[in-house]
Amino acid sequence: MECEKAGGYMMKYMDGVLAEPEALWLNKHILQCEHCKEDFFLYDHIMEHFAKMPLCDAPANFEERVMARIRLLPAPAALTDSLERAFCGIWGVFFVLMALGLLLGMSKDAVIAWLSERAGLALAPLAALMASASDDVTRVSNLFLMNMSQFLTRIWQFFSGLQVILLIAMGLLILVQIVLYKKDKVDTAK
Amino acid sequence: MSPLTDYELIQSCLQGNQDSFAELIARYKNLVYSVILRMVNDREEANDLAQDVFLKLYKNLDKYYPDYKFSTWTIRIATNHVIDYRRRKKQETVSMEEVEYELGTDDSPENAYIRQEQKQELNQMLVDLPDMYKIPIVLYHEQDLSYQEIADIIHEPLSKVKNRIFRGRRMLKESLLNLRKKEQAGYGV
Repeated sequence: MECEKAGGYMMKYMDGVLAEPEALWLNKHILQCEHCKEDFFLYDHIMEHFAKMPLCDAPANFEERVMARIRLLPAPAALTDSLERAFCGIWGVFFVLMALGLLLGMSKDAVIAWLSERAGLALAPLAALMASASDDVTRVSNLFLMNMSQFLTRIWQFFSGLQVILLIAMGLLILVQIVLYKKDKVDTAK
Repeated sequence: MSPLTDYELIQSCLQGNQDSFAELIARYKNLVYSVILRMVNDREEANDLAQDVFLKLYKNLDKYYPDYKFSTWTIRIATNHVIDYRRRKKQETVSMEEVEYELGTDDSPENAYIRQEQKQELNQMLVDLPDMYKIPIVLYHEQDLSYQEIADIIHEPLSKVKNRIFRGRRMLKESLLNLRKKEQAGYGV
């Protein structure tokens, strides 16, 4: 038990945070305990080695070599800008197509009727094609919504009552822990 | 005029001033090189890897947030880069002799030899430690980083960092003890 305490104090000694009463206690202990005495001097030898370890300097031309490679690259902001532009483009196209699909879906009957009325423009085949495609889309959407609804009902049944309360409580607890941990890390880093 | 802070240099670099990055390299090249050298144990390899780390830092400068010190972010990227590199290479580390520093000339040749031997033995023990213990120990004892800074670098809780440093020290102590026992047995003591 005392040796365990001594081991803890040795770690504090290596961290440079050993208080004076602790140092006196440790000193007294290692005079009585051969095993801890041996440990202490081994640790001391390791610490001495660390203290003498010099910081290794980077080679003399290190900076020039890195900068020569960096000058071949575009500026970091430019890299980000081009990536952001690409993502914006993809999302933009996606949202325009979504909006168009939604508008067509909402007013499909009116569009089909309008196309069918324009006999002179020979748009009847297009109207028929649209009507057929629209029926398919409606069928698939209904099927999807029905399955989703069944799935959600089952989930709700599973997590009803006490289970859902426990789940929410656990989720909140984890969330609080994460927030506290992050806050602690940021505060200490500052 | 006071020198620019790391964050100011980063902002200047993000606005297209590449020379600001040269200043960041000047500030952190020895730190990065030193940490990598302790991990890979080969000067040439450490030089190449340290250069790669700075390129990586440059490409990801916009992802740096001043919540952490730039040095913390830098060492995190450096250690991860070396770990990835090792994983790809799966190579054993080589002798520490290359990293040896010159001994004082006032020593007798015999003392100098013994001290050199002891240094090499301890260096080898450090090299032989698994990365999970070696990285925190090098950062703490060689680079004088705090437990919290190491925790930020290796993305582990403070308690785990302390535990790894304690266990790493114990492993070094056990290796040193075993070595001494072997030496004593060899001398027939």
